[in-house]
Amino acid sequence: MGQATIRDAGANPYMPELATITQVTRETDANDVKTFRVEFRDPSTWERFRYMPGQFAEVSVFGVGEAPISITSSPTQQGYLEFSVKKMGQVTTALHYSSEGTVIGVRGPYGNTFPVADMQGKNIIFIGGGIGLAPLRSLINYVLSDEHRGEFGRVQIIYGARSSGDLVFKGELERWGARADIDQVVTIDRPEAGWSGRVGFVPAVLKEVAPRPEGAVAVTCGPPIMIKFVLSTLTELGFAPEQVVTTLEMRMKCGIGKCGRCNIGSKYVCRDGPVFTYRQLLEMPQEY
Amino acid sequence: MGERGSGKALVMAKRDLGAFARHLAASYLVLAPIVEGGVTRFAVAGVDDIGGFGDRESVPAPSKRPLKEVFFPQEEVLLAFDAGGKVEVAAGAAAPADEVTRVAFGVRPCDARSLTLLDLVFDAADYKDPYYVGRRQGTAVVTFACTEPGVACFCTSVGGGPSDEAGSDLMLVEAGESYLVKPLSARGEGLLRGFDAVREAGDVELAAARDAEARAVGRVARDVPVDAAVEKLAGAFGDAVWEDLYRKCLGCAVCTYLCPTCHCFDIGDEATRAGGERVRNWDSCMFPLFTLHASGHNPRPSRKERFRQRIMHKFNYFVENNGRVACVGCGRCVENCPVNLDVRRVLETIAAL
Repeated sequence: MGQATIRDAGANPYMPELATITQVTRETDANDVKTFRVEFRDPSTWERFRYMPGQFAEVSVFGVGEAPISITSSPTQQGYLEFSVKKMGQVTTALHYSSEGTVIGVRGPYGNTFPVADMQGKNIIFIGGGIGLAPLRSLINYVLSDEHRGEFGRVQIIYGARSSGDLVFKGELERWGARADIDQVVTIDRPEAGWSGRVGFVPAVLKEVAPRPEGAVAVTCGPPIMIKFVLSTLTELGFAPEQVVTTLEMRMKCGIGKCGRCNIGSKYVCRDGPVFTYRQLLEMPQEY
Repeated sequence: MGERGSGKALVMAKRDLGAFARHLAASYLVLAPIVEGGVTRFAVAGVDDIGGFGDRESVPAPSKRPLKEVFFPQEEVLLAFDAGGKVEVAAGAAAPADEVTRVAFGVRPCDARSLTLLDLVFDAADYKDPYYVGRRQGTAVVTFACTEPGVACFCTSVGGGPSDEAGSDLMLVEAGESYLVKPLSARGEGLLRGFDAVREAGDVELAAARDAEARAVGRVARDVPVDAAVEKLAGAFGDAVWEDLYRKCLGCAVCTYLCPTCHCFDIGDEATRAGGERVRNWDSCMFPLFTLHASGHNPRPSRKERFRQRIMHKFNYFVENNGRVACVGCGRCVENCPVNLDVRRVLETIAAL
């Protein structure tokens, strides 16, 4: 996997950078997912905060706490970070009650990155479910950026959610779907009035679409049950475990490999992950 | 830590121990095992405590609570923030210190050794924990070799021993009516500066100390097959043995709290109207909340997985990541477990797989 740059060892790694929320986008009909665009109060922070797709940050609402959130913006989009957050626990709920102008804490970037260098020249198949599209979006927009599009082959996106109202990044899905260099399939779990797209669970749709494994890398993120079936479907389609990349979630506190809770075997998801190949997962204890 | 001392062994009379403690207290904050509320822990030693060391002509009693809290307290404020969005490192939080300001006195070799394991976590190459590192750099460790190991001790099975020098700056070994005084670092030598009740050790004292050390090694109660257990654990994650091993466990976490090498922690915010603090607390892998996701999913849902995590972390994962077992054989988890779930028995069972 790509390795993160190590920050100044003399710095206090628990000290967050201050960032102001500059835009809040409601993603889902139920309003349980919002995307927060934030800008560092001190622009020189960018000299320290250099990230690549796949990394995450510890995002804090002062007085409530911190939570690890994947960075959903691409480093090619400069001047801001974006976090797409599902309202789940205390910190994410407090974020949902935060509006533009609120100052939050951001420390990171943490974890490894998607193996961008290994993906060069390859076709990339993105397979996402629900909010699981958030970490993939960083890499999708990186791959699709003018600077980097030529480094990668064809792009396929297979994305699904429970219902049309649960699809995130709808505006971008439209733009991606309209591009000639992308094959995109969007699916929902059950039929719905007015829905003309695909219906069916992501693994089933993946099987129908049947992307070819030759010269390809599959990148997947979604609910654990979806990932499980996507991994077996990709295997049926002939993808070797090395060709399949996923990103994991764990309860985390420190983000820097010290607080001791996010390990799977000897690997810390915060430091050795969150990005793992299926090959690596097969060699790890099934405890995630 | 720091450069090695000259290694030249010195001696002081046992009756001068109190004078040595007072000598240290004149220049440093002395932390020693003190009884507080019926529990022995490392705390700031008062004049009475320090004088008492000499009267007893013996070392302070082993501490029930581990040395780790001198460097990694059970709760500490990391950051303070105000309502206006100003965030700063909490007042009093240790910045890396250039000079020694504190002395941990009356440390046992197992606890001193635990620091060399905690260093691997908190003073790692990638991210350094400035709170721990600052206290570590600013604290010298004065250790007393054990002459009467406790019933639950198994330090010799994990690479340590009753006079193991790892993590210590100065070591005192009982030698008849004297203490052999071994400076183990430049910092340890610095502690002796200006204390004139020491003289160079003679052959008789050196021999007495060697005898005492050998006797103490022989008194360590148990040989635990740690190496064999470590070897077996590499393939034991899915073994049925865990189904039996964990059953007595109540999940009370006393083993992890009193463990000198357990270092897991939680970070949380405590808010006030004017701002608040970001606080770190000890946490434990024995608690279900430790790994519970906000979604309700828990990768370690039962005591079985949590008990396995504790054993695997100490004797497999930590070994894979750092090349050493995360155990110093102090026996605290053995002595204090309310259901007598003895880690020595656990390791013996695994070694026999």
